[in-house]
This record gives sequence, structure tokens and C-alpha cells, in this order.
Amino acid sequence: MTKKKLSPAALVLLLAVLVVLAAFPFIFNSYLLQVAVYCGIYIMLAVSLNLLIGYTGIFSMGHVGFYCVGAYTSALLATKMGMPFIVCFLAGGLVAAFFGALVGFATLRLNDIFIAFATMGLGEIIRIVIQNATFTNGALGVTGIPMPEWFGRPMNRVEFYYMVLIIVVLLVFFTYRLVHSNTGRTWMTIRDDANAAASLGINVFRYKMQAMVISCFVAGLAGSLYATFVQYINASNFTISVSTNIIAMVAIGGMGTVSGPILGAVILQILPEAIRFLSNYRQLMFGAALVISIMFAPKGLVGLNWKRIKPIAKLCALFESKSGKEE
Amino acid sequence: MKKLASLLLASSLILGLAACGNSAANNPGGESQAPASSEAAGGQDSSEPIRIALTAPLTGNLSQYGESFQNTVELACKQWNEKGGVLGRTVELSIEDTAGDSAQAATVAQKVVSDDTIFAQVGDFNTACCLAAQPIYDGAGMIQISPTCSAINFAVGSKWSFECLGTQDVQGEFMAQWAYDSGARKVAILYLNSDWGISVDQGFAKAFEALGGEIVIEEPYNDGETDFSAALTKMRETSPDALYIACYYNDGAAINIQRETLGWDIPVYHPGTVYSTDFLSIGGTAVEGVYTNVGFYPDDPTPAAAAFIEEYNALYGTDPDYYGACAYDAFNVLMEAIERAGELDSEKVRDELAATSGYEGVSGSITFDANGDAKKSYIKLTVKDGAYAVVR
Repeated sequence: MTKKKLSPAALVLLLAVLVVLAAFPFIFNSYLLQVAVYCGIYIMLAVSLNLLIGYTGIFSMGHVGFYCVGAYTSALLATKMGMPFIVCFLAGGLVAAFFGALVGFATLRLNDIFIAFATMGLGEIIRIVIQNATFTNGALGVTGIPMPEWFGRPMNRVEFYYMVLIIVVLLVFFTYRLVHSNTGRTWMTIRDDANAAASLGINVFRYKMQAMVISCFVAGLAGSLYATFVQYINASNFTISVSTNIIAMVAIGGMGTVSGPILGAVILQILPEAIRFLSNYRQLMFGAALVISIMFAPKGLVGLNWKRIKPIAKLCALFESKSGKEE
Repeated sequence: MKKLASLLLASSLILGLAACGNSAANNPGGESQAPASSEAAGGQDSSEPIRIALTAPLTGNLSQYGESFQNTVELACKQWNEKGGVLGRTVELSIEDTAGDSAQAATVAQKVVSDDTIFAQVGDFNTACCLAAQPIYDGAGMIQISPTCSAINFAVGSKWSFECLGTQDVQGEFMAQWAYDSGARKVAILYLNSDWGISVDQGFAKAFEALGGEIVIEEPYNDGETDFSAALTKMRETSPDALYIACYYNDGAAINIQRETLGWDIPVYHPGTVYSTDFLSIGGTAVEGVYTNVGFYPDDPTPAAAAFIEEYNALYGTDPDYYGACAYDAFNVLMEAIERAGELDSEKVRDELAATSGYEGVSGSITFDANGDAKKSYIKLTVKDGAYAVVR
């Protein structure tokens, strides 16, 4: 990925998308708002996992563990100690990042498949510990997690949506800057060839740790948002299937791209809702859609050659001639 | 270029979401920011059907229960419509799948409350889904009546929440009394480590200790465990008079088989969840003589239950299960409450529902307490010669 500037036309389009998102609550009902908030939370998870899988080449299967830690930290601080949301939110991220550092310290010297196994195991261990510990309320889960307060009253769902939207936009912007920075480039060097990177004097372990901590921090923030939004969490929310779901989002959207995981997260959140009318065949169709997309778009949807479709090619040409700068 | 393409895709997806949402939510007014208040819900136009949402795990691990819910509630709905509907209006179901997943349950709840045409909700099957959906129904002031949520912290959480199975406290009391009356003074408990299992364990332990008995050990096991010999050996060392094992039928059969292998002959009590023909076929001789309870027993039905079983059998070709019977009752008590209220006003119907007392349902008699938990009656069962038999 070479550094390039967004063309004015693409900027206009981006703004248009943002305007639609900002107007979302006025156009759609609270059901779609709920789906949109989940989309936001999963965008955070997919984008953060992509930093590991897509940019640094750390195949983590235990992302759900950090999401879970963030959710529980935030929920317990809010319900047991009555902390304000901002404290719970940041603490969720920080504690998840701390766990990420611990896990990273233990596993990041492993390579490829071993990291996958180790992180998968750790994700499960976190869930099982939480399910059995008394301070987490065990299998009963945490109920009555309060919505954030502001102006002396609890936030409503529309306001919560805007908060998530702002967080996601900031996160995407931050990620975009990060992967185009020196750090991002170093990560990609490590991903492409860790030995070569080391021979260039790059401290591979340190950079991997960095990616791990940042990624887990974001996953923890996502967990905090989930717990606060749903107001009830239970260890059974955080099974390995969530991890595989996030990996699917990254893979289907496109690994190692900024927009890929966003697209993947949105599609995989919306698709099951869009095909709700199929009732019992829903899971089947969902699976079929995944298989088809992996067969025909192995590099993810972003990696497809969209220009092969004539109208899109024309549209692209239009944008290109105007900007003259794209690729 | 890729960026542009993905932006295009993203925008088309948003439009797609709008399209799917509008068709799926079936929301003619489009005005949905305000919670479905009692006036808005269903409207008073008598030509419009009364719409009730049924949320259940139609896919996933719990789908057999979801299917049972769907069958019985559809039957109940059909019966009401054949009688001329409720308040002279037909009743219509809006069936939603939650897959037993609490995140999906919250989404579905949001979908239900944003649909102005839906008056009340029946469901869900498992506690996690009910609890995740609760704040949403509570905020919207919509009646949430779960056929089977027996957790002690559910119905008490909102004035709009009801459940028809009875809490584990009540079932625990019933089983504790039974064990105590049979001469047990020291009981060992083995329970599934889940929100449900913990409730069962605590319900029994509290009641048994109140009677003057002693709980010698409370041993949890995790979902998916298949080897119970260590736990059983540990429990055996405490030399109890009886065992109380909170599990579903598949684990229950496995536990009893391993208990038999250990040669440990001891009275075993189970909550009603083991009541299933699979429990008998998997457990074989090992489950002979175990005690359990049930609110609904097709082989020895009350007159109301007999009619229900016959109709169900004619329609679906099998006997209904206990949870399905609870769903049937949940729907019916709701309809009765609407009839008594005389109008579609959530507040009034809620009050009438809360006043439900001594309703003779197919799953037993139902009386709601102040929290909205049903007080149910139970039938004592044992396994005799490979079949269930009533203990009198």
C-alpha cells in the first residue's frame, strides 16, 4: 500500500457517507440503531484485530478474550464501584491492554500457528475463569450496567449511537495514520519477513508487543461499549465463536487494508439481520454467503477487481480524471 | 481505487440496510423514535389484528425448545382466532429468532419495541436472552412474558416482566421438602455451572437448610464436561443421604451412568429439566428410581392438558414438551389479561396480568406473585421399569 492522498471526489463521497451516518437516527428506527451500534462495536474489534492479523502477521484467535476483559472491567467498575462511564471505558481498554501485554510477553516469540493456538487457549481460559470466579458474579453474569450519564441524566440510545460513531471515526482515522506511519511500515516489514526485519536491526518483539497492546486496548474499549449498551453481560457472550466471527470480518473485508475490516464488520453484522425473514434457514444462508465470498474473493471484498464491472470502471474513471492522482 | 470501491459498497450497504429494515420492521408509520407507548401499541382500530411478538431460539443449540415454543404458540393463536379472536380482533404472531444469544436478543427486542403494531412480547427461552432484552422492554413499557425464565433475578427486575415456569426458589422448596420428607438429612449437590444451574443449586440449598437439613457439598461442573467420576467420588466421600443433581437430560443420563459404574446406590433427585424420553433411553438402568418433577405430564393429564395434547398431536404428530406447554400458557394468560382489560392498554393489561390467580393452564396452575414470577404446582415423578411414573 503506497501512500496516497484521497481524491477530492472520494473525500466528497466519504463526507456523504458520514452525513448519512450522522442523520441515521432521524431516518431509521431504534432496531436499526441497535444494529448500527453493534456494527460500530464490531468495526472496532475487526479494525483492532486487523492490526495484528493484517499488518503485523500475528494470527490471534483469542481476540474475544480482550473484548471480554474490557467488558467485564467496565461492567464491574460501573456496577460494584459506581464509577462514571469515562473511567469504566478507559479502564476497560487499559486492563485489556495490560492482559494483552502479558499474553504478548508469553506468546509473541512463538510463530504462526503456535500463536494461533496459544491465543485461542488464552481466550477460552479468560472466559472460563470469569465464569467460575465469584467477583465476576460467575455464570450469573452482570446485570443492571448503567448507561453513561451526562448532563445529570442517563444517555439515551440515540446519543449512545453518536458516541460510538465518533469513537469509530476517530479510531479509523487513528488507524489510518498509524499504519501509514513508521510504526505501521515496520509492522508490515515484520509481517512480510520477520527475519529480514530483524537483520535490518528492527526489534521484532518490541514492535509486535506494540501492535498487541494497541490492538487489545481497542478491543477492551469495544467490550466496554458493548457491556454498557446491552446493560447485561454473561461469560457465554464471549465464546470462541466471537473470535472466529471477527476473523471472518477481517478476512472477508480484506486483511491488511484500512477499509476492509470496516466493510467486513458491517456486512457480517447486517447480513444476518437482512436475511432474518428466512428464519430457520438463516444460518445456512449466512454460511453459504461466507463460503461464496471466500471462494470468489480470497483477498477480501476490497481486494476484488471492481473495475471489471463496467459501470464501476466508468465511475472510477470519472473520479480519476478529476483527481488525476489515484493509483 | 480500492478505497473508492469500498466507499461505494459501504454506501450501498447503508441503503440496503434501510431497505431491509423497512421491509422487515414492517413499520408503516416510520415514526419510531418514541418508545411504543401504551396508546401507540397496536392502535385502537378494531379492524387491525392484535400483534404479539414471539422471540425464541429457532436456530442454534437450543433450537428444539424454540421450535416447541413456536408450535405451541401458533396453536394457541389459532385457537383464539377460531374462537373469534381477542376483543373481537384477530391475533397475529410476529416470530423472531434470537438463536439463544443475548446480543441477538437485545437486537430483536429493539426491533419488537420499534414496531408500533406489536402490543406485547412472549419469550425468550433462556435466562441470558431474557435478561439482555429486559432493559429494552422495560424502557419501552412493553409486556415481556417469558414462558421459561426461572432465574430468581429476572421477573423482579422490571414491572413489565413475567415468567410462567416458577423460579428455582419455588421448585427448590418443593424438591427440598420431598427429599426431607423421604428421610434425607445430608444432601450433596452437583450442578451445571450456568446462570440456571446456580439458581437451582441455591434454591434447593436455601430451602433444605431452612428445613433443618445439611448441604454437605455443592459441586459445580462446566458445560461440555463428560467425565463426572472425580466429582462423584468427591461427593461420595462426604457420605450424603441423597443427591440433588441440577442438569439437563443428556448430562443427567451420563452422570447417572457413571454413578452406577462407581456402584454408588443412593437416592437421586433432579429438577424437572431431565424430564425427557431421551433421559430414559440414554440412561437405561442407571436412571431407574431417580426422582424428578414436572408441571405437565402427558400420560396423566388434567382435562385442559388432555385437550391440548390431542390438538397438538393432531397438528404436529408428536406430544408437546413441558416448555412448549409453558409457552402455550404464557400466551393464553396474556390473551386472558387483554380480554379482562377490555382494551389494548399496556398499563391495564399489565395490571390484569399481574392479577392472574389460579389460572388452570396445561402446564399446571399459574398465579403470579408481586414480582411477576409464577407460582406453579408440580407433579412428583420417578423412573420405574424404564418409564416415568407418578409418585403419589
